[in-house]
Amino acid sequence: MKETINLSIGIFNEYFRDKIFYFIFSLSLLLLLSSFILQEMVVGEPGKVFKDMALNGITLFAVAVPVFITSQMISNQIQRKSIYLILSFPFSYSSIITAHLLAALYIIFISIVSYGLLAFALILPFEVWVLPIIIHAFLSLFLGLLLSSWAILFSSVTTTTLSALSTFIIYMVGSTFQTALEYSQQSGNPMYFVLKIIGYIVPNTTVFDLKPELIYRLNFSKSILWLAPIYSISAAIVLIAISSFILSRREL
Amino acid sequence: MILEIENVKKTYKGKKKVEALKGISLSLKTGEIFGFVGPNGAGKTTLIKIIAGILRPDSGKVSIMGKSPFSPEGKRLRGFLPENPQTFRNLTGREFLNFCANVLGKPKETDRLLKMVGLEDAADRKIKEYSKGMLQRIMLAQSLIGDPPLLVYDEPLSGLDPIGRKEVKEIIKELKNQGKTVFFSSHIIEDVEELVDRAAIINEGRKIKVLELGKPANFTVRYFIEGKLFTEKVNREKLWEKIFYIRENGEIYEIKPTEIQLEELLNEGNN
Ligand SMILES: Nc1ncnc2c1ncn2[C@@H]1O[C@H](COP(=O)(O)OP(=O)(O)OP(=O)(O)O)[C@@H](O)[C@H]1O
Ligand SMILES: [Mg+2]
Repeated sequence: MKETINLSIGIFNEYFRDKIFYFIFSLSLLLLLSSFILQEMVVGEPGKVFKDMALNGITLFAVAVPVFITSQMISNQIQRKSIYLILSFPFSYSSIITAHLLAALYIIFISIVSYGLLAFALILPFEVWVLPIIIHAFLSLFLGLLLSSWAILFSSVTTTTLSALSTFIIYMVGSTFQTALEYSQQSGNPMYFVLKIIGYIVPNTTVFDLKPELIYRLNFSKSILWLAPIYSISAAIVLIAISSFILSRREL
Repeated sequence: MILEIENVKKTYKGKKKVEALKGISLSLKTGEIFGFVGPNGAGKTTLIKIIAGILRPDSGKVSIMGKSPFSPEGKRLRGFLPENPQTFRNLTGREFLNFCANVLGKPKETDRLLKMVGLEDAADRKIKEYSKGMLQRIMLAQSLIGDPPLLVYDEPLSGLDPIGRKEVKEIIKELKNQGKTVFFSSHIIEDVEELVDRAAIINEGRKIKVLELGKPANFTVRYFIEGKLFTEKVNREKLWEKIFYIRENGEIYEIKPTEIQLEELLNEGNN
């Protein structure tokens, strides 16, 4: 385990210093700053725009890091052939995959925390808005883990471009699927059972989304705070196992 | 025997099947420098990836001091330099060596290694700014972490300018002096001749022969008899006989080991 963590720290440094990460970070800053302009234009509860932007920005990291960074991790190293060195180290395939996933998680964590702090400071003139940001950041971290696990799987199977695309698609499918599922149940669609099975496979991103509840102070079931992490971690374990198996079977 | 390879076979099962190794056997003695020579596509990298524990053979056995090259113990006994090495780009050379020592759980000897490969001055620059030769050298340094007895290098001299090649050759010679066993591949026989004790020639996945380069097999003898210059190839066993004969009848002009021609060896293999 110690070796896996050491490996993940090296991988983290490599990607954290990459330009793409700064690109995502500046994008989200832009998002935050643009909320100043929006704030002037909309009427309503003061600070509401900031709250929206705060939570959306956090989600952006949980999605953009998997799509743009995690999805590149294995495929890019295979393309550049830099994977050989890591494969020649005395690690199992699953520790190599886990280390990459951990590295992705550190990046998501750091970006979410720094963005969250910034958002907190911007909202401070209106109200002390701490707990919602923490809850949303916490859930988003696990959303990031779930999407990153998919990204690593795609990354072990296909090229950099395709795996970025697939990660984005699986996120889109995952975030719309649950609504589609409810709709098809109501309308008595004969394909409902097939859809339901697919629904278990694709990432259910709605689990991690409490935005309306947090912004409008609605009640929500507290059990989601431990169910969502369990869901994300179990999916990650399964996806790590599949990715490691695939990587071990590839003739690199 | 520090490295033993027995009848290793490997077929890549991609869209088109490629029989890359058709049954290779080799064994390396401790402390020798062993060259692995063959043209492009001969199967050198395939065998080296198997020794490095990256690629599973279909059949056959490889052992490093009795350990499987795929086991963590086996992997700790050898250092590895991949072909056209690439690695993390955003780490500095020093960070990279520290990182490797960390993940291998081996003591950090970063300064010693940087000095050995002559990269002290570039130690704090990012690897992406390194030239090809520098990259080759930082990766060589990486292979030496933890002082493994066996070093497996895939084309350590390719893609370098004459100075770079000389530097890498010096490093390999230094490793021999330290008592290491070095197994390296090349498609240039001259490089191998200069460095190695023995070399195996491989083509199309088959070993053609093992050369004892310390003892050349053939000599080219040029001599005068009755004022005429003759050039003749003489093999090792017949050499003294020939020399005595010439001394009685004429004059020796030159005796030198015959240069080995890769093409000739490959043809021998085909016949
Ligand atoms: N990953 C792979 N998938 C399919 N075929 C491969 C793969 N790697 C190598 N081959 C094929 O196996 C054969 C041996 O390749 P290998 O890379 O071992 O040769 P080599 O001796 O290292 O050549 P070079 O001097 O060009 O590096 C070649 O025909 C090559 O096309
Ligand atoms: Mg090769």
